[in-house]
Order: sequence, then C-alpha cells, then structure tokens
Amino acid sequence: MTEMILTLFNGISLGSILLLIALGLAITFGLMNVINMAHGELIMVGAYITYLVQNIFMQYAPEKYFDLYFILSIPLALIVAAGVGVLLEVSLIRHLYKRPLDSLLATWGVGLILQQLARTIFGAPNVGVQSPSFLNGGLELGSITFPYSRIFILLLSLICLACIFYYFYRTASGRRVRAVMQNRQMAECLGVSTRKVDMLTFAIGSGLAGVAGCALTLLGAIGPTIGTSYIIDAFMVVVVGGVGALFGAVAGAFGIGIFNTIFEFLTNATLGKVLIFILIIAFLQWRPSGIVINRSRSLD
Amino acid sequence: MLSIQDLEAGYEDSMVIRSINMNVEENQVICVMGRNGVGKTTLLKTIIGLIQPKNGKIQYKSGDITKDRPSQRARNGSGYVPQGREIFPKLTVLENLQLGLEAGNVKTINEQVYEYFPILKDFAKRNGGDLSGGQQQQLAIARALVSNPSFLLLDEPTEGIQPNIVEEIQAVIMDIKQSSQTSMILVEQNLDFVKNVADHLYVIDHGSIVYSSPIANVEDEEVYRYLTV
Repeated sequence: MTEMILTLFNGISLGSILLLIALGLAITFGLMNVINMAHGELIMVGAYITYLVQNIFMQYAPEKYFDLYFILSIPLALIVAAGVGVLLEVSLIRHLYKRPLDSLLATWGVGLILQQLARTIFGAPNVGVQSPSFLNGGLELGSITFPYSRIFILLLSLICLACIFYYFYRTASGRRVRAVMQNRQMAECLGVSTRKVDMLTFAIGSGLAGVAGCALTLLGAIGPTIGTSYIIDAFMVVVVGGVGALFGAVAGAFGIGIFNTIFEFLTNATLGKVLIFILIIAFLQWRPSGIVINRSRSLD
Repeated sequence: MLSIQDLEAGYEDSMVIRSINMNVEENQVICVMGRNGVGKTTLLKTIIGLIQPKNGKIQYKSGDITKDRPSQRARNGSGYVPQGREIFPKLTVLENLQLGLEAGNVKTINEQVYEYFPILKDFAKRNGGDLSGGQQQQLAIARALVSNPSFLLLDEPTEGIQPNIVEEIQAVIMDIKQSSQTSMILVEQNLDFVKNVADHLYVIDHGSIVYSSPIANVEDEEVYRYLTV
C-alpha cells in the first residue's frame, strides 16, 4: 500500500518536472512550429544562474540569509533565460521560420555552443547546488516521507501552469499570441505586430525553461549536459500532448511521468524507460496528433 | 486616398497582376469584377500587404505604403475582410472582435456592429470555428469594422453564403457607404449589387484592367463579355 502511494507520488513528481521542462517548449513549438533543440540548454542556463546566485550568497551574504538565494534565483533564472531566448529568436530563429529542418540543425548548433560556453566558464564536471534548508527533509504521513523539494517542484509547476493559463486566456497580450498561433497572416492584417509577438512568446517559453533549470538544482548535481538529458523528454511530452495545446502538455507530462514511474517500479530504471518509449510509440500509432488534436479550418 | 500605380505582383515566379493603375477617392466605393483566377484576390492581398509587389507603388493618404507591413497598414486605417473569412477558430466570437481592435484607433467595440449583426452578441462566448459559414462571414466583416477603418477591402463577402444573409450583408455594406466616411474596394460577382452600391467599376482580366467606368455609365453587355468564359 505504502509502495503504491509512494510510486504514485513519485510519478506525479516526475510529471511535474516534465511539465516544467516541456511547458516552454510547448509554447515555442506550438506557436512557431520551430524545433528549438537549444531548449535543453536554456534549462541549463537557468540551472547555472541558480548555481551562480548560490555562490554569490555563499561568498557575500551572511549565513542566515543564505536560503534566500533560492527565492531570488527563480525570477533571475527566468529573466536571464528569457533574454537568451530573445537573443536567439532575433538573431537566428526569425530567419528560419519557413525552414524547419534548418532550424533543427541551427538550434542544435546553438545548443552545442551554449554547452561549450558553460564548460569554459564553469568547468566540465557537474557542480552541486546546495538546497535551501527549508526544503530539506520531508512531510511525514504515517510511514511515508514526501520530500519537501519534490512537493515544492509540484507546486511550482502548478503555479507556472496557472500563470500561463491566465496569461493566454485572460489578457489582451495572450489573446494576441493565440491569434497569431491560429492564423498568423490574418492577425498581421488586423494590426498585430507578429514580430513582437514572436519575440515575446519565445521569451516566455525560454523563461519557463530557465525556471525549470532552477527547479532541477533541487534534484541533483547540474552540469553542461543536463540539457541533453531532458530535451528528449520535453519533446516527448509535447508530441504526445499534441502540438500547441497547453492542456495536452499537462496530460502528456503527468501521463508519461506516472507510467514511467510505474514501469520503473515494476522492472528497473532502464527497462522502465524502454517500456515508456514503447508505450509512447504505440500511443502515437493510435493517435498521431497527440492527446489534443488541433482541428483548425486553415491549411498549413 | 488610395492610389495604385503600375502595380505588378504575383507568387514566386508567376506574375498575376500586370501593370494595374487604380484610384480610390475619399468615401468612394470601388467594385472590382472578373472571372476566377484573374488576379482580384491577389490585388487585394497586395494592397493590404500580404504580397510584396515586384513593381509599382501604392500610395495611401499621400504616403508611400508599398513597403509597409500589413500590421502597419491596418494601424493606418485599412480593414481587410479576406476571401474565406479567416476567423480565428479557437477564439470566441468576442475575442475575434477584440482582435479587430488591435488596429489601435478605438479602445472598445463599436456597438454599431452589434446592430448590424445581432447574432454576434448572442454568440459572444462561442468559438469562432463553431459558427456556420454565414455567421463567420458576418463575424469577419464586424471584426474589420470595430476599429473604424477609413478604408475597407472586401474580397467576395457574399461568396457561398445563403441568400438571406447575403441580403443582410449587402444592406450592411450599403449602410456603411451611406453613413460613414469609409472608402471601399469591393470584389464582387453580382453586377446588380455592384450597380446599387458602387461609385466606380473596374473589370480585370488576365491581371490587367480591361474595363473601367463610373457606375452611371456602365454597359451591362460590355461587362458580361469579360465575365463569361
């Protein structure tokens, strides 16, 4: 019984991590149909920013304020990753909208550059980020302990989801983004500056990646290659969920998270991964467009 | 108000419009007729900026807008109702109308559009993609009107619509002409409606203007000659 509850919790926890990672990608992939292979590196940027802030606090801040570094890291990771994303969009992606294969290659190249940059600045080995003390330990219910760090990530992912939902469905700016997603030319003809929308959307998607990177520091050491570890998972969630659909990304993330954890529990970590891939392939055979199908009347 | 000089435009390597010259005065309604495939839609797309002309100039309110992006032209007062409606399928009717405000001239939706098309108020929360063709057409026109454009481009606004809604739309266009200061370029197939609403008629064939006449002097047989296959 306790094993079931723990497995379920771990599955939900993994789902929330996948959601954080994939939410930004769902937005950029969904909006521009641009395959941003550098998304993983934007996560890496967020993680390293957190590492930097931690170091600064370690060196200069009095001990009792040390834990605050984490609170500060979240918005900082968001801003820096968003900035890198905008730079990427303006200098590179903007020119590749009609060329998906080129954008895949080009962003893959940018990802490699960012990785190497990280190695040059921080060194190749993984570095550890000390979790803030208020996130150590766990919530004890009966004989089960639910780690606070995982609960925090779950809450963070839900908050991000709520903010994104509010932005897209309750603000004029979000409405513009949705219009451009659905019919770019018509939105342009109505007066929407699609260039600005592209920049803004890419910034949001990248900022979310940064936040994900910050959250990942709670789970283990970070290094230049954490991006490549998570990029595949991110794309899996987006493709399973249905491109361009927020709700689909949520369903995809938690679905994959829970099933992956169950498979892992029943077999082992490696076989669990194999089984989840098989399940995803089978699912896509049955439903190629993903969980949420984008039924629009316009032809691409 | 709008002046098109020696316009040449097309897609990739094929020129669809060859050397079109056209003038639209303030408050004037111009109708463009022609068989399918002669370049009417291409012409409107070039005027709104979706297509960059290979040659020629477009001047609007004494400024050269040939290089302007469509969003700039919209903010300058151009409204566009494309062939095929092109409403946003997963935005609600109200959100579609709110998008019309992006042109920036007004802040709230002009109540007039609800008087023209009452069903838009009833269907405010319905997704645009769930409307019927006729309802979508009404939404598309209303969306172009909410920002009080000074210049309206309408590409076959009654195409494929049931007759009673066609009448409603024609009445709305007549009313716009009479009550507001909006100039229009209207692409149409129905000569009777054209004669009711237009001030000037152009007929296009093979990408050039083959017939141009003020409405009072239009000779039906001449026009039909160019419209029949």
